[in-house]
Parts: sequence; structure tokens; C-alpha cells
Amino acid sequence: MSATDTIGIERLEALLAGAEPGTPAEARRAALVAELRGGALRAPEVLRSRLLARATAGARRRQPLLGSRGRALLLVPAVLALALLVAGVYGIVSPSPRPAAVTAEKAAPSVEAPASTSPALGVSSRAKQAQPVGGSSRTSRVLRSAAGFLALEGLVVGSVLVLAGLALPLARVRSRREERRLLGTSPAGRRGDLME
Amino acid sequence: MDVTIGRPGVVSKDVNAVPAPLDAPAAVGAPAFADVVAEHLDAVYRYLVYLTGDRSAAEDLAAETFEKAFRSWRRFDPRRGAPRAWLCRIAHSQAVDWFRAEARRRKREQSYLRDASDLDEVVFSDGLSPALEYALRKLSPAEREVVALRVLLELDGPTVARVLGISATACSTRLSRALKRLEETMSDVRN
Repeated sequence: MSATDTIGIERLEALLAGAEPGTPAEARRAALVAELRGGALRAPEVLRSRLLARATAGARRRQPLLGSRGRALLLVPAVLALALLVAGVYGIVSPSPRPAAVTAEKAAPSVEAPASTSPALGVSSRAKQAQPVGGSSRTSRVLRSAAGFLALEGLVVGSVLVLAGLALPLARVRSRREERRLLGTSPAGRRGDLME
Repeated sequence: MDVTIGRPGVVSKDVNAVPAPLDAPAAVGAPAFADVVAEHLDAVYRYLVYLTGDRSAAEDLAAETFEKAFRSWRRFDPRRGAPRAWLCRIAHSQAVDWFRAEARRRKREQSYLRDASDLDEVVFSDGLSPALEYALRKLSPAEREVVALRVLLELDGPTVARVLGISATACSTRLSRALKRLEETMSDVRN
């Protein structure tokens, strides 16, 4: 029998678990495993003492109240609140569109106003009429404007999230491929010959 | 797969054992991390030596691994796996970063060959036969990695598969192939 006799995976698992070898090939494989396990290799003492000191010193140091997950959980409502705030501010300060009725009235000057009425009175009556048309108070205009801005924010953030969602699996696949190449599990990696 | 549950407060000797709830970092606090260092440092170091084939790199990577592990120790969930497998996962990602940096460096330097003096020194273990030492050098890092995890660290198949991010079958096949190549190379050297 040659040194490269095939040993089934189940038998190999059994040999690793300490089963008695049944064939010469298995005996050679078991001897190889025993030799590998018998090799003495300990971490340098300098490294051990440095890490133990670090672990002990770190234990005395005060741990942060929130871990990264906690911080992320706190960040999400904070970002949402900020988005709402920005949208609200935008709604207040932005030049909101005038109600349609007022715009139309401005385009076609008042016809209902009696001819005898002074221009000043005509304006004030138009302003009085404009207020209730379409139920469009200043508050509702602000809210509409803010909602529009919020929708825009959502659109932008949503697009970014969708793009990130698409890019992440691709990046992961690429990283796995590179890892296989680096560690020599792909033909390219073997050609790369990093370690030999 | 049989899962052994360790006794609370006792450092388990079964490397695949999942610690009992009282061993959880939150319950025993950071001093338990010192126990983890004491128990698993040699194993992680050996794993990194096999993976990188470079003792000084393995030392640096082991330090970085435990530093990273220490920072995320609070998040370690003992119900999801044994500390050794968790440490090996961290070490694996550190080593991949190291390989990436090495590849860049070597590309810059246009040199893919190690010095002859490096090839002569004992890397993998004191006490191995020269033939085995040579045969280990001839394996790819991925093959040495699976040998280290399965044979030296004695992690079980599914755990190693999780560490490597491959299927259990692929893991067994890789191990079988690696051991076969070791035997072949040793046989060639001896003949």
C-alpha cells in the first residue's frame, strides 16, 4: 500500500477522536496526528504576562455604560428626532406656496369689490377672503411643507440604504474571494505562493 | 453533536464545551477574561503560527486577537459557542488582514520569496521531525489552518466549519486532503 491510501472521512474523524487504526494506512495517519499533537509550542512568556496584565488592568478600568449596540439603539431615535426637527424648521422658514385661491385672485383682480371701494379696502377684503379658502391656514402650510421635506429626506436616506443593502452582500462575496486567494484555497492563491 | 455544559465558575478542559450561564462575562466580570487568556493563549498562538508560518507575526496577531477579544468580551455570548472557537474566529479575521497587508507589502517589494535563513528555522513546533516541518511548509495556509484547528486545538468539525465560514463537509475534505498531502510530502522527503 502507498503512503497516500485514501481514508474515509468517517474513519478520519474516528482516528482524530482516538479510535484504534485498523489498516496500515490508518496507522500512518494516526501516527502523523500523534506527531502533530506531540509538538511543543507555547506562547512566549512576555506575551502571556503582557496579556494577563492587560486583562487585569482592564478589569479595574471603568467600563463604558453603553456598548456599541446600545449606542446604535440610541442613535436611531436621535437621528429620527433630528430629521423631524430639521423638517419642522424647514417648514417654518421656507417660503410656503400661497393657497391657490389667493394666487388666482391675484392673477385676476377682484371683480366682486364695488367700484366705490378704495384700493386699501379692496386688499383687506381679499385677505379676509383668502384665509378660509381650502382650509389652508399657516399651520397647515407649515405642516405640508415639513411633510414634503421629510418625504425628501426619506427618499434620500432610503436610496442610500437600498444601495448599501445591495453593496453589502457584494462586498462580502468579494472579501470571501480575496480571503480564499490569500489563504491559498483557490488556484490563484496557490499561484500567489504566499507562504512557500 | 454532543454539547458538554461546563460547571459554573470552573474553567472547562473540554475545548468544545459551552460554558454554563454563570461563566458568562456579564456574571463573572472581567477577571474571567484573565482565565480565558491563561487557558487559551497557547492554543490561539499555535493556531496562528500554523496559519501564518511566522512566529513573530503569530505573536503580534495573538496580542491583537486578545486585545480585540477583551474589548468585546462583554458581548461574548457563551450560549453561541466555546471561548476557544470565538477566539479562533477573531484570530482568523486578524490573520486574514495580516495576509492582505503582507500581500500588499510583497507586491510593493516585488519579492515573493522568503530568505533562505527563514526556511531553515523551526517554525511550527519544537520536537517535530524535519520531514514534518518541511511538509507543513509545503501546505497552503488554509490547509495548515484546518490541521491546526482540528488536530492541534481539537475543535470539532462543525465548530471549525463555523470559524472558517465553510460547510462541515468542505472542512472535513480540506482536513483529509491536508493530511494526505503531509503524508505524501513526508514520504517523498524520506525516500
